[in-house]
Amino acid sequence: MKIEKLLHTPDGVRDVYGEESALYRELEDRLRKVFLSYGYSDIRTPSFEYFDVFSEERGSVPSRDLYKFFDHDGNTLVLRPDITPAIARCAAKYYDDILFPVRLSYIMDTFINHSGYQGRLKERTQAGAECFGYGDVDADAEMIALLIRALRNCGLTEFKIELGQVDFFRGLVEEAGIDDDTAEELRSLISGKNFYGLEDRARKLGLPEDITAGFVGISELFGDVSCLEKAPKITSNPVALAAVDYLKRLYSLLSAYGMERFLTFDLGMLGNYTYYTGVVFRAFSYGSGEPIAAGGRYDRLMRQFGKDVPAIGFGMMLDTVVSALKAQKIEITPARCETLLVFEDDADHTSNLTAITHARQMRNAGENVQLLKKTRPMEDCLAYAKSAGFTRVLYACGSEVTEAEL
Amino acid sequence: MRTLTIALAKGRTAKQVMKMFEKIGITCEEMNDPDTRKLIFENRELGLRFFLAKATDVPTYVEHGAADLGVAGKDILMEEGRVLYEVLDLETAKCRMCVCGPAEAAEKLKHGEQITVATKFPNITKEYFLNKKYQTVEIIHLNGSIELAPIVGLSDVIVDIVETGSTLRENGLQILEEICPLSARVVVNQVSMKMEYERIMELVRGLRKVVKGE
Repeated sequence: MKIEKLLHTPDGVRDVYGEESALYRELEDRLRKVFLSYGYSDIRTPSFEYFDVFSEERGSVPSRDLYKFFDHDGNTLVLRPDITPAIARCAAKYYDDILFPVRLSYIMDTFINHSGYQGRLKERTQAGAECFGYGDVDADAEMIALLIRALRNCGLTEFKIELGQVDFFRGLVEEAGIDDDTAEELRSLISGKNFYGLEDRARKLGLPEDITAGFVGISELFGDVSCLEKAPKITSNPVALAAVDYLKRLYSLLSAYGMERFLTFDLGMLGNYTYYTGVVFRAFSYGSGEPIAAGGRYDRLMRQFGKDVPAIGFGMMLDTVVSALKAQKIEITPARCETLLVFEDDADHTSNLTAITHARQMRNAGENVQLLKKTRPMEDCLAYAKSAGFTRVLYACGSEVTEAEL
Repeated sequence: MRTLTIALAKGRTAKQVMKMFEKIGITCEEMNDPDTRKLIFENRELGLRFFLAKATDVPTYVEHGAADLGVAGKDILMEEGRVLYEVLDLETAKCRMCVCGPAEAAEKLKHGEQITVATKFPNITKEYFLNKKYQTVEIIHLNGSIELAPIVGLSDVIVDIVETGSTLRENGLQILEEICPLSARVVVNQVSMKMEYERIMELVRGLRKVVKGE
């Protein structure tokens, strides 16, 4: 199909301008402040890297959905589909001995080449944080507290952070001694919330009753903190029970942060359980069809880059935050230019000079001002000021600056 | 109470599923009017809203959260590969996804040689031949009357849904291999499942009882 390529953006990417762009900027500013308030320092990695950094065992995106190209030496490069592997690579390289925890945060764009016409963006801004070299439950609590603080500072009030722990499932799988394919089948039934299908499948495996009950019982470990009390009735597997105890400790730490009201639990959250090694979490709110943020502990990732240190992090998609804010009618008013200074288009430029001097003083005082040469009648200029959202109009004529009625 | 939106595949499935809903006390009077041209039907008392969509589009509505839950065939869920929760097998609209063709084509499925497959379901076909059977195939995407393809020589075999098998028999074709059983499934949007867990699970539990004849 012939399209007018000069005007349009390709499928999956879009222009963001005006108020929407200001909204994104405002959210980014707020997020940077939150990250800094927890001692996370900003990091930027390149937009494209070697393919291997994001290959399937490290990245979250299948190879066919990556934007790939080649450098002069024939190496395959990809636009980053995901941030975490890039930061892990960078941290592994720059920090010789990670004796103290390394805390990093970012706001960067990610690129995924989804197949078309699915209503998904291919370029999305992601904000997130990573902490390397801190493997304790208090590191997990801090990361989740940071996520909650970040969501609240974005203006969201109604949201849930759902916590899971992949060791619960892993413990059961190890005890059952089932092969990878069967484990994957059960995982997909559990994480797809197909509890009845799970029950049928688990019973057919002919495993000991205790293990079957463990798999089936995962569906009950869902909801507020009290659901965790059911765990000992469901299984006696020590790894699985330790996972539940871990979540209880995490809950009590987050209560110290005063954030327990946002927490719910789902031990059946097993999105990518071979990648994650401990706690996993996701954030949900009304008005966005997908989770706003996701994260977890991935203690095996850094090993792939030659440093054996624990790691935890999360990422949030800014466009899903914006959809949730819009759907919930939460107004965010970003900083904007309030004043329009209209100056007379006189032949000797006196008015122009007056306007420049006046604007300079205003800007030095921290005010925002836009200049407009009066090439059209004043009423047109006022109409423009209104439509562009200015709240104040000044008029420079000769050496005088006067307030104009808007 | 937030309104829950339910997407149904229009046609026979919608009727069967609405009967199941009726058994758990969920009715939608407006939908029973055969002359209606409405697209969305509401039951305000229960805070429910139903709409009818083309079967293949149901997962799309649910994935994006335009519908909180939906009912779609397993064939469509497999083909579309959307991110959503598949919570219940309704065990209705049962059929099978099969490799079919003339009897002599059976030989071609045995040796991993490259064959041509016509289908409405290219993703399911690819997954089956490439990842399960390790046979290289050339796939031809058709939109309907798939049975024609091997008869007129467009393909060696087809991958299609088989209900009774009578269309196949009448055209001199037969089932050569069964890929998987199919039926209608209840699917739920990921976020809706979290935010409206109790209401959604109450529906699911009710439907499960209907399925099991309890």
